[in-house]
Amino acid sequence: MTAASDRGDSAIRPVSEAAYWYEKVSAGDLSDTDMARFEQWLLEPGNEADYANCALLWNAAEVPEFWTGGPAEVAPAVRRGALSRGYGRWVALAASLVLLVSGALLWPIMSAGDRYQTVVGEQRLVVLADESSVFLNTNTVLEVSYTGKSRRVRLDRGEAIFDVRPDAERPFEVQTGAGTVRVVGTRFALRSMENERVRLAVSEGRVTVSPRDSTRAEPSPVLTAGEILDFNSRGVSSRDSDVDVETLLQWRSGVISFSGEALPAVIREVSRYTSTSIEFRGKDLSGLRVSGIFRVGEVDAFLEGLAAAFPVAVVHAADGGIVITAT
Amino acid sequence: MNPGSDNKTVDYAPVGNPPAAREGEKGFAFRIYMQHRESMLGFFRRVLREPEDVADAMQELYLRLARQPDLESRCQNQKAYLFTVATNLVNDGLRKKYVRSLDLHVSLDHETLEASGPSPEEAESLRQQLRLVQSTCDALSDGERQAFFMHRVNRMTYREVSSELRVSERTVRRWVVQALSRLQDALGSSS
Repeated sequence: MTAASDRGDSAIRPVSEAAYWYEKVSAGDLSDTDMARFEQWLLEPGNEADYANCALLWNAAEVPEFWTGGPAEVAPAVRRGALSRGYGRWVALAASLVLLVSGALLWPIMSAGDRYQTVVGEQRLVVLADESSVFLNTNTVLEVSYTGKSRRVRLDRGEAIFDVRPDAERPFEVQTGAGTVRVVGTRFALRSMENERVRLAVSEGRVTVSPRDSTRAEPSPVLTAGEILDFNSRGVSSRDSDVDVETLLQWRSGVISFSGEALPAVIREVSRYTSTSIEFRGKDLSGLRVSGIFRVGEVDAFLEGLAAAFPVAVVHAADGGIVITAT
Repeated sequence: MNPGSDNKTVDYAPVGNPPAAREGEKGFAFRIYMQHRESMLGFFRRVLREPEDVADAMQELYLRLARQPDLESRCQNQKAYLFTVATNLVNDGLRKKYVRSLDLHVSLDHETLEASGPSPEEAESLRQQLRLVQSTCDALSDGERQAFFMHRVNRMTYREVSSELRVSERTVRRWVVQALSRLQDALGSSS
């Protein structure tokens, strides 16, 4: 699905002159004639102030908190350790569950629901009718169906952090291909994994999990803060407690950090954030461990770093994909 | 900041030694700097707000002018030129510490500006304005939001965004301008 098919994208809207000029200057797209026109425009009363507002917004929009609706103490241009500061504030706002749902699982379309989607590399906050919010990570599809009696959402693919408002009358449920997650507390995150496995991580509150095909005799597991659980339709496949869930949620700030993960796994993780295919071929290098930071969107820098640090070669294939081989 | 300077006074002239009296480019740089100083101060104050950052930015602006070899010929449209330099400065230069070039033998001692910065009311007002703007983000079209987000937050180039979204670079730029324009409308109407 391309972005152009979404609402209003083919319409060409009138834009403010200040925005026109700010983008042009930022892109370095100024001929001599443009400079003369820009000069005349700046001389008109009020335009300098409008231009400064555009500068303010252009730089404010670089900070993830601007998009997530977190308390945006915006000091965008001069950042002294701002990234960790901003992240800390977000955590204070929203202890979350992370659910990761892998694979495009086939579902009947939910009726009377709204659908939200991010493309590869995009992250987006969705605020629901009851002021619960869902923060979608790259390449994620979410369907929402609220009724008077229930609050149901479905995570078709991708990864999301749910911040659920308490409502004793209406439990909040997330359906995935592997089963349903029910919230009796506050926030959690979900992620699709391979082989129709779903990973659930709880940062705060209590969550129950009902694998789709589990027998009634088995009680639904209940998770609390600091716990992670993998499940598929048949049941729970692994469970861990005392986990640093917050590190898993760093993607909200556009930053993924690795500390000692195996190289092939790191490459697989990074490739979630780009539609360019990245393949790893060659002898088994899972013994190599990667520590560092990947900033969402900076795949080239990431690959350069890999090639510099490890005995690998990065090759751009004719079809536009990337192949990493051991040297 | 100059240690021991009196931060309670407003000082609109550079203190300390005048720049090395070398005619030609540096003299010209100094002249246009002084001529447009008010405008540039206004710009940096709106974007950066903290006096120390504003002072840093003014200093860096001057240094960029003084370092430009053929400044007079580039500077046919002075205001436009200065705003272009200032834009590039805020867009990418300010995260790094400024390195004052010692080669220039220019001593434009650090600007001393009124050190009080924005008042608590002003800071709160800006926060509220920005919150209103944030809610506009949801009203952007998908293309506008995605293009602007990827270009600003993920620091993707226009070419990278166009290949991810599978549209032309021209369309990406149009979306970016439209997004900025709508956010600016929201900011303008709240002030």
